Amino acid sequence: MNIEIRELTADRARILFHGEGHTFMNMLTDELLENPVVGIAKYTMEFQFSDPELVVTTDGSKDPLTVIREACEHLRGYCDELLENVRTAVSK
Amino acid sequence: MEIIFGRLDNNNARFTLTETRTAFANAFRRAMISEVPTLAIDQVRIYDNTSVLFDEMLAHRLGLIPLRTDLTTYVPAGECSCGGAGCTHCTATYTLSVEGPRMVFSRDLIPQDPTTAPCHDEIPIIKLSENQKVVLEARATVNTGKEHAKWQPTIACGYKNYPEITFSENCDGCGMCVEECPRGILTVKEGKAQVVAEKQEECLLCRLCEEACMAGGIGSEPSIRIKGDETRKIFVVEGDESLPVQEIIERALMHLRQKSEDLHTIVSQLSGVT
Amino acid sequence: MPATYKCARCKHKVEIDVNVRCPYCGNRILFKERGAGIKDLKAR
Repeated sequence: MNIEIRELTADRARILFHGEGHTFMNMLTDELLENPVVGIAKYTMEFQFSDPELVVTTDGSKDPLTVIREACEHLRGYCDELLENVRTAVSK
Repeated sequence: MEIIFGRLDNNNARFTLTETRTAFANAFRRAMISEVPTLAIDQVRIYDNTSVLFDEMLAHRLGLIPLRTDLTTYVPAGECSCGGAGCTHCTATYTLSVEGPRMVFSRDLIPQDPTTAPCHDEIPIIKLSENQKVVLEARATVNTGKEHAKWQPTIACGYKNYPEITFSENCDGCGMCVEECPRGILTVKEGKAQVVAEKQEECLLCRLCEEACMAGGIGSEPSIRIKGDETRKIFVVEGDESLPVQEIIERALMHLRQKSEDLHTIVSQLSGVT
Repeated sequence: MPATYKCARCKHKVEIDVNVRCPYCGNRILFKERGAGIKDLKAR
């Protein structure tokens, strides 16, 4: 994964994701919005196949990068849980 | 979050994903369709084609044939040690040589490596008549559905919200909802409508029963209520036999996990947290 | 490689130079034959 930080302040970030699509971005923004300190979490794609640009704002108690990191941890946790689940279900 | 399998065999899976959200379920569905790699024919070298079909159409048909894929031996060309030049680790080779009159089937495609044979023997490719001939060589590579639909490992892959069916006190057991239901999941017992045992998951959420109930003149509200539970999804995954469904599910999850992991690593480095 | 044709009436192989006409039977309808070359294609 290749990202480009376009703007970064204590409560706002604008990040360009090279080569990502809706599959990951939609999942990520939804997970970000679960966090109560997040105000806006949204990505825009200028054209159908352009690289998405993520905008994250927080209420200032946490910086945007921390919030993204936490969201990634959660998502990774879900996948681990489900993988574990599938493997045990199959071995039965 | 949990996966509860209702059915799992080599080619079909039906499971319930619990305590989830739509965005995650949709990412999972999209990953299964377009991020899990399989083999498909990509390069065709035509030596002779006197059939009625143009070379391009013939090549296109060959591309759409599902091929058995062992992802432990085959890797995408971009990740191969040969650098994408085409070696036995990233490319499977096939020959096809048929003279008419007869139908050319997918079993006529002779693989160099028998583990990469077409999944089905009986896929018709073209009908040849007297004196018509097709001689060609094909090369299959590993790629994902993102690049072209022929690399999709799934045929049907989707989800729906878990149906919740409730009946109010007002039900007079008229049976109009029972007649209307296209899946036949309702029945009338002891003067009240109810769901047939074990059939609740088959509900299509079409709400025809609600309309029928209203048509019965019961009042301003139907007594039967259909709701979809957004936190529980029923998934149906059908593979094209190129990969076992279980592997499709696992690889899709591993893909999503990898993406999250990558972003986590990058962001940690940027913010100086290790 | 000159393009080869086949006469629609007498089925003789014909090579066109100036006139589109079969030198064997005079028919003016010719079919183009497939060339002997190998064709590489993308299956998409």
